[in-house]
Amino acid sequence: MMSDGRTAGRAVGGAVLTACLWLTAVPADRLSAQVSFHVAVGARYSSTLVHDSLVTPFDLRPALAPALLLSVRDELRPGWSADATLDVSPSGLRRHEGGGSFDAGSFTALAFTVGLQRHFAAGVSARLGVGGMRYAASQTGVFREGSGGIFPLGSVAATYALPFPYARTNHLEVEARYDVHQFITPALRSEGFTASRPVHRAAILVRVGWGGGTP
Amino acid sequence: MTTRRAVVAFVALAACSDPAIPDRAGVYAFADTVIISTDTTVTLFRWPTNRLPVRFWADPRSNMRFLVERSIVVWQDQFLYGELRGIVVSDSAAADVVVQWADSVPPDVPPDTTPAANSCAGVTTFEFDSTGFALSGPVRVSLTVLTGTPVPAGQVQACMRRVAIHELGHSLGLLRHSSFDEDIMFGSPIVDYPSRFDRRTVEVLYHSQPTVQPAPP
Repeated sequence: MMSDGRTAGRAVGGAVLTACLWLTAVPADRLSAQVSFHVAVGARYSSTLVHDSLVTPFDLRPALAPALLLSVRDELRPGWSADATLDVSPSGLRRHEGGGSFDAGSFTALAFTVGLQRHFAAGVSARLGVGGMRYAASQTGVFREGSGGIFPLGSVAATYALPFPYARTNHLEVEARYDVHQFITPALRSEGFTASRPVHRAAILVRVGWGGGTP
Repeated sequence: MTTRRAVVAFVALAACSDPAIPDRAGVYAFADTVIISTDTTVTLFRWPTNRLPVRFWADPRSNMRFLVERSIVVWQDQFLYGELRGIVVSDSAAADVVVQWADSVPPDVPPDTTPAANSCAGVTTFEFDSTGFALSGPVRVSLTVLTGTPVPAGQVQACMRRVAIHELGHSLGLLRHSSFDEDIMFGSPIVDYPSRFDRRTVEVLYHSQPTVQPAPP
C-alpha cells in the first residue's frame, strides 16, 4: 500500500514538475498573453476492467466516478492550442455477477496527457491527446501484486465554449472526453491472464479557466 | 501523415480484443455430503455476500488474535474480486466464527522455521438446524497442542500458524481435505500458505451456489 502511494505521489509530482518546467521555459509576456489554466470537474463512466468466469461469467467494472482535470493550455497560433492535463478519478470497484453488483474495492486513476486542440467556429473545439495512466490502489484484489505500472493512453475530446458573456470571460466550457488504455495487473497475470484488455472511459465535464485570451 | 499514424494507433489501441479467460485446473472437492432423513444431499457452504465481513472472535489468551487476523488476511489475499472480507470482533456473542484454544495454551514465542513437526491440531465444527440447510449457531474452531513427545514451543507456534489457516479454511466452506500435501487444506498441513490449487478451489467455492445458509446474525 505504501509503495503504491509513493509511486502515485511521484507520478503527480512528476506531472507538476513537468508543468513547472514548461511554464518556466515560456517567456513571461507569452505566459500572460497565451497561457491559460483550466479546472474541469465531471462524471466518468468506465468499461469493464476484467471479464472472468468462475462457475458463471462476471465483470469487474469501476463505478460511475467523479473526475477532476487540471490543465495548462498554450495558444500555439490562431485556432490551435496545446495543453498538459492531469486527470484524477477516484472510483469504487464493483463486481457484476448474476444480476447483482458487489463491492470489490476502490482505486484512484491518475492520468497525464499532452494534447493538441483545434478550435473551430462557434466555440467548438476538438482535442487529441496521448499520455500515461496509472492506478493507485491498496494492495488487495486485482491490485494485490501491484497496479501494473503506467499504461499508455490515448484520448479525444470535444469542447463547447458557452456563448454567454460571463462564460466567455471565465473560459467556461463543457466537454465530452473519451480515452482508452490497456489494463492488466501482475495479479491477473499470476491468475493466468496472458493479455491486457482495452478499457474505454467516457466523461462529461464542465471546465473553467483563467488567463490567456478569450477563446 | 503524423496525424494519420496517431489515428491508426488510437484505433488499434481501442479495437484490441478481449483476453482469454484463464483455465483453472486442479480444483479439489470442497463440498461435503450429509444424510438428512433419507436424502443424501450436497452440503455446500460459503459466507454469502450480504454477510460480509465475516466476524471472527479470537480467544484472548496467548497469540490467538494474531493467528486469526493473520489467517483472515491470508485467505482474503486469495481473492481477486472482493469475494471475502473478515474482521475480528471483541464480543463472542456477535461472532460468526468462534476460535478457541481447546485445552492448553501455547506460549507466544517466535515460530521455529526448521522442518515441520506435527505438534498441533485443530477441529472445525458446524452445527446444523433441524432442516440441515442452515447453521444453528456460529462455526466453532478449536486449536490444540498435541501431547506426547515434547516439542519446542517455537515448533508449536509454527504448527499453529499452518493449522489456523487450515481451520479457518474449513470455516469459510472448504469442508473437505485436499489429497495433495502441497495444499494448506491437506489433512495434516505441512505448507505455510495456500497453494495455487487452494486459491482456485476457494475462488470456485465463492462463486458457487450454497445449499447451506449461515445462522441468522
